[in-house]
Amino acid sequence: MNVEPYSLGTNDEHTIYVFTSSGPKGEIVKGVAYSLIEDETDTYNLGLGDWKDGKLDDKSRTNNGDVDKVLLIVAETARDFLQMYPTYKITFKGNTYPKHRLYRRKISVYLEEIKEEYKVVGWKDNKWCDYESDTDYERYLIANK
Amino acid sequence: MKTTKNKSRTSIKTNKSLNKYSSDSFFKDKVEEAKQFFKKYELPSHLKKTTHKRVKAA
Repeated sequence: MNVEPYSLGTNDEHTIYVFTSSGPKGEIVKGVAYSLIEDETDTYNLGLGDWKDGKLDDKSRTNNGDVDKVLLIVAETARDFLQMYPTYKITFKGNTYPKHRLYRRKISVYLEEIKEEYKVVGWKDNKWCDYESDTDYERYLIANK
Repeated sequence: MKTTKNKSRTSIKTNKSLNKYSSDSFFKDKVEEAKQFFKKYELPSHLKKTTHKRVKAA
């Protein structure tokens, strides 16, 4: 799939997004999918992976030197998804501890900006808590305010 | 292709070739894990309310 670097392509439903990571390892098409978790509460899982032959692989470690850009693009997909579906919620967690910790660090960096528009909560000690910087959570949840 | 209206700095274009895929078909193990999680633990009450329904692709 030919996608201009860092520009986003999406399906009509705005539930699948693709973009191209560009770095020392070349151009790698990546994808983000929002998959239904709970119809009753409109909660969706955010998944990120490498797009290969119509499949998304989240096991690969690309290390293409552009992780900040990639995560900003993922944030843009979340922004677009929540604009399209204002009452939906997005949940996610890293599939490895380093990735999970990375997500936490990035949320912490942009927390004040994020909180202007979104509610951010994390699951910790068997309850949902308002997100606080540099705190470990098992799972994250983001929704429009 | 058309560009959607949004407040982001990144241009987002519809890509019709993606319409043949279902987002629910990806990351099935992670989705199942999340489903089990949300069966066990409810959302905070202030996040439960929902009124907006998903737009189906033409």
